[in-house]
Amino acid sequence: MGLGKVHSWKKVLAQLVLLAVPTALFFFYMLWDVNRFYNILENNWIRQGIYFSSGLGAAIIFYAFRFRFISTATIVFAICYFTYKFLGGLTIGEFDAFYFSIQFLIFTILFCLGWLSGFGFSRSRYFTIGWSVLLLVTQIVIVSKTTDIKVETLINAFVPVLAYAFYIIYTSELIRNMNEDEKHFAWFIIKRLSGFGVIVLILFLIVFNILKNDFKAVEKEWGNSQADYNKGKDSESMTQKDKNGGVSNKDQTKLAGSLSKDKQLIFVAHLDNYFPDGKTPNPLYFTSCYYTKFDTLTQTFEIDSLMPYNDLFSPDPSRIPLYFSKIDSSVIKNTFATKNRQVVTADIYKVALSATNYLAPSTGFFCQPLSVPKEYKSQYKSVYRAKMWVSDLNSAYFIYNPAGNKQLEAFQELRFEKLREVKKISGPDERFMKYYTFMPKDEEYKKISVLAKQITANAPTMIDKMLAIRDYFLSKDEFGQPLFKYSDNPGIPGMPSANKLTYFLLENRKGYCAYYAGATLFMLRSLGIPSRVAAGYLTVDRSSKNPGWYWFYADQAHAWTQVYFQDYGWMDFDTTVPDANTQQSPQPDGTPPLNPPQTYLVADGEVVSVDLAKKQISMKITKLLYHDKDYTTAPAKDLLTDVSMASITADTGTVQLSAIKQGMHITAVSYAEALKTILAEKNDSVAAIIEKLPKPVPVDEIKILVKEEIQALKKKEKEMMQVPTDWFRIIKIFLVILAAFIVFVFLSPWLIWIFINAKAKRAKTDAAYYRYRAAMYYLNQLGLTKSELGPQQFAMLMDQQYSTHFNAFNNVYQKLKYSTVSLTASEQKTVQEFYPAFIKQIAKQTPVKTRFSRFLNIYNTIHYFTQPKIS
Amino acid sequence: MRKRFRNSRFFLKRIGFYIPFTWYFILFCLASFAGYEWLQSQAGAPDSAYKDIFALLLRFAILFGIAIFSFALVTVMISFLFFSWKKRKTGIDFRITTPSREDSTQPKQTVSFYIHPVLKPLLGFVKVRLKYDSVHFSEKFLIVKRADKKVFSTTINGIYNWQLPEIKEYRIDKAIIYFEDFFQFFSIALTINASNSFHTQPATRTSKAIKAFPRKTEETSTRIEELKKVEGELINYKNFESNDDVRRIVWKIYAKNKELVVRIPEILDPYASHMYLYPSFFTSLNIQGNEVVEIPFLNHYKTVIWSVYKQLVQKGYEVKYIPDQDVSQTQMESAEEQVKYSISVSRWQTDLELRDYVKTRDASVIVISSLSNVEQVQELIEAHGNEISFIFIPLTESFNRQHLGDWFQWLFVQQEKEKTAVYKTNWSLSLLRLKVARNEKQLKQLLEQYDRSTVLKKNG
Repeated sequence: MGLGKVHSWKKVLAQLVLLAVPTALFFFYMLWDVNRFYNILENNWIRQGIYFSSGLGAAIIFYAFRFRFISTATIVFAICYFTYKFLGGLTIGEFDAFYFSIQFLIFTILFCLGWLSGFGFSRSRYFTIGWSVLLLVTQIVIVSKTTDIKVETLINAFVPVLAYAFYIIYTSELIRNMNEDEKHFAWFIIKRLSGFGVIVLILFLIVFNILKNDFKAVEKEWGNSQADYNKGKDSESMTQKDKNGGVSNKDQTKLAGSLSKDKQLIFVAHLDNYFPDGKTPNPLYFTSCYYTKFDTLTQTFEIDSLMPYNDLFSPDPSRIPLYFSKIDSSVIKNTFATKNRQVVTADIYKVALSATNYLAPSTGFFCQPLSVPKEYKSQYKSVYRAKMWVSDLNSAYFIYNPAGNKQLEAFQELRFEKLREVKKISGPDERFMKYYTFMPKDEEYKKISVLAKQITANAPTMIDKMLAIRDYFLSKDEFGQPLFKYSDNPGIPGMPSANKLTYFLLENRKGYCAYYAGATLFMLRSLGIPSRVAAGYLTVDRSSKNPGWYWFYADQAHAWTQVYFQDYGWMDFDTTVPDANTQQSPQPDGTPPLNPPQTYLVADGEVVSVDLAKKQISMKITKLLYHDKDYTTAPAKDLLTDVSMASITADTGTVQLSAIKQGMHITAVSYAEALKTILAEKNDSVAAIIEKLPKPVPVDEIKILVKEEIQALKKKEKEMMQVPTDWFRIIKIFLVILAAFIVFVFLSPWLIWIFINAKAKRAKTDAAYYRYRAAMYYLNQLGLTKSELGPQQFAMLMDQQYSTHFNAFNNVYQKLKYSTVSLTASEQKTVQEFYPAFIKQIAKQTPVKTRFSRFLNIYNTIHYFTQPKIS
Repeated sequence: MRKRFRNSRFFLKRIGFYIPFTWYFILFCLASFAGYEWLQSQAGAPDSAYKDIFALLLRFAILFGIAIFSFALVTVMISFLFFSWKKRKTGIDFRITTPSREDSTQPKQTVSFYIHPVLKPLLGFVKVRLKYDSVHFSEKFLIVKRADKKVFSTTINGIYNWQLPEIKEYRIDKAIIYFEDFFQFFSIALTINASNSFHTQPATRTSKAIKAFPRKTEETSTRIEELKKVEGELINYKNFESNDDVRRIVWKIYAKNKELVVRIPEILDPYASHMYLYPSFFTSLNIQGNEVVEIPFLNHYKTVIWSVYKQLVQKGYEVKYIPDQDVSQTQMESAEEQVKYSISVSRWQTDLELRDYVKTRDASVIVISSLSNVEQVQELIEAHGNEISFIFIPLTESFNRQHLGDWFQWLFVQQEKEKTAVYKTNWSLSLLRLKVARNEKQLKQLLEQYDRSTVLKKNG
């Protein structure tokens, strides 16, 4: 039974290498991508890719023979199907059987898909069209759903598929047209493919240049500071780590399948806020940022730097010189809060909190970095003092979700009574109201709206509506069980694109703070109440020993809702139900750091010189704080300091004295008792004070502030690290190099000619050889090859054709080459006179056009250098 | 009616050759359109990142597609315009040569092309379709280029191995040159005149050894083992018949017993130099319009005749091929080539019957087919069955017999893309099949009785 072949092995090889390999690679990538979203695949993308590739390869080889598709594929599919049934039917170890059958099903699907496409590539000309269009269309949809909206990411995800689609159409046609009789097929394919590649690159660059602005516009509009979600699992954390390991609240939070958090101590704060009795500490939630925007597609809450009446004060404490402060009073104005507000102070001792992060109960407006007392340096990285415009009504006790705690409820009633005075829902202006009551228009959000109306049907005022929502989360179902539960792992709805908030509110009823805050937000907004989500840390007063001191751990990172009340400003509300399973772990609060020692002198300026031996630093001070009085010097004054006892710190912690370099911006602090008695007179200038000080001044602490340029440089470095490879640049460079190479290739015959010609003209010794070589090269390049003729025959032929004296010269040259007899005078003359005249004569008789085109022909040059030399 | 239909179909097909794009392109457009429609349904809610990116990527894909297709079209147009301009201005140097081949195991003809000047579309293809025998068109094919040392060449110089189904003489009338782009979406055609004729040659197959001897003496140089009767001395007598030569009456016998007998002039000649081969293409059955008989049977018949000829020549005999139809006498390199040509161009004929065609005195080998007239064969074989070798080629055996295994094979294995399968089916449905089979059976029976006769089976 002779089994004929449809394709030769040459063709099959070409199909495997040029079609199957790129397709398999593409599938590996796609499976890797899909594995990130579907747990059932168990992240075995390599194995799955191999399943697909084996199906593909096997089918290409199999269908190279004259096998019919329908009958053979039916058998393959049937085997797979019955094996699957068999595995599913195994009773021993049911779970294993189920597991195996699922694994086998994945294998079957991928293998059969590979098999089908293998058949398509092997036999069907039209398959490639469908395949390419299908992939392209699918990829458009997939890429459009990306959360990481950057030009590079979009292009990187989309362009390979675009190129692949056209590549497959092109290559399959190329292979189809492959002639079995063609001898140099590999060369043919390489030539064609590289040509095609270059054309695609050029066209791609042109198209990209046309659409460049559109891409940038999309990035600008949608891509603002998106975090990296490519973490593999659908998990979310309320905090993020910077490169130094510092923890901060994220500038967005996504509704995810699970929340990861740990028990790490983040910071310790001393909050100078007490109840009117002056003894009972009054804790406040610490706010980091506000999420005012919600991306419906990725279901992510985001910071919007353009929010109206921005009341978020977010300085970088690491950039403010020690003991100097930064104040932004505009945030106070933007709170529009006049009632029940007061200024409260807090000292925040950072442990794991990011050096650049500023946290304070809302609404912070002041930041002053302080120095960490020496004995606590190992415990705390840095400390700053914050001042806030705080509402009495924002006490954590008012905000905590009482969840049935009668005492707390009664206490909170005080607050609600006050807020009930606000009858009207209103904001400072229309823009404010529109922004803070914005809701996506979608069926799913309508459901939230309906629910909100239903819940708050009997609530007359804003606060009652708010409470009705809070109570809804605390309500019980018909079995007396809580309707809503707290869960760090609420899971995700079956459909990846389904709305997680409605899933949470109406079906699952399990979630963590972001779900409660988010659901509350949209319920409030649907009722027209201006609201936003605040993120930060919830405050727990665990210690009675150290009133006013609070310890903050990573699992206290929190999100809650803020509602705007006329005159009272933004009010905090926490609707997250308490976690029934895990009570607050009894973390023992440590001993608080002692108050920083009294500082007498703080000098801020640039390092002039460092004396490592004497441990002295000379600095040019620009700002001076002496006995709590602020001086600014112009021009800058020099101050010699003794740093032998000083601890030197930078952003990242303690450093050596040698780290201080000339030109650095430092702040020197002194607690020296010696300075206590040296008081400044009322009208003393900086110079006068410096005069009074001992030389050198003993300094206890030096803080290095990273200079702006260095900071900028670092930032740039960081950006460099983050910026993905700029493929366009690479493509452009590649094309330029390629073009240069091509030009060089075409110019090379001419360049070689220049060299050979110059050598022939200038040669003193062996002139005959160089001239003969140049003449032969010139003739060869013009297509006049000697081939099988003898030198003399060829020379005579040339003489005949061009009426030159090549033969005469050739005779001399041959004599010189083969004989030891020296040349006669006339022969010498022949050598001298032959060359220029010969070239001129040949050139004269060959049209410029011909010469030009022949000199572009690299094949002639190759021929010249590869022709067999007679030894 | 049928003819008109066929004509219009032919006409449409011809028009189809000149459509400037391919089915492939139409399919691509349809697929793209379907994809686009589906994408439109996926557009999503307005004012979302998805929608914006989606629209942008779609635009990117469409723009890129348009760019690359425009580029492809431009490359084709340049080549086409250059070619038509050159055609009008200086004329195209289009040469076709058909070198005859040594090895001819398949009905494949190498056709050499030389086209100048022609500008190949960038990365694209120049394809050719040949019009032959006034009505037929070849497939569209790509010329396999000979190694070229030029970077930019405006010459196409190469070959094409043309699979031709029939063993016969072909006449090329025209060539259609197609310019195709790298995707082969666009295909612009231009016709140029060509004129060339060639004949495909029968293949040589090994066949059963044939018992045959020369009977014709042209030179008395070769002795033969078996003496043959020749005209000469008076040896035998026979009864006088009305048209016998009266001078040959043997009066002595008449005198003795009153019987009129004449002498048969017969002697046995020990010399015979030539072997005359008489292949009969005569058909006693009506084969009008039967494609199976016209093509695969004829091919088979020709192949076997040629094989017989070759076998006899290889044995060292002087074989003379006597055609039963007019063959144009073209100048051939050798007698063998001439015979090959004669075989190639022969067709089934109804003009010259076997009886009139064979010169029984000279004939050494007579080749008959399943279409030969049984009576005439019988007549000849009865008279000369012991002197002349009759070779019978059962045509129906050119197809392999169907076995049960074949059906199983058919289920899983595709037939070669040749027409054999079609012919097989056609033949099994043909009315002629029974007649031919009967004829074949009779001929076989007839030949079995004679030692010198051979039935040449396909693989025998």
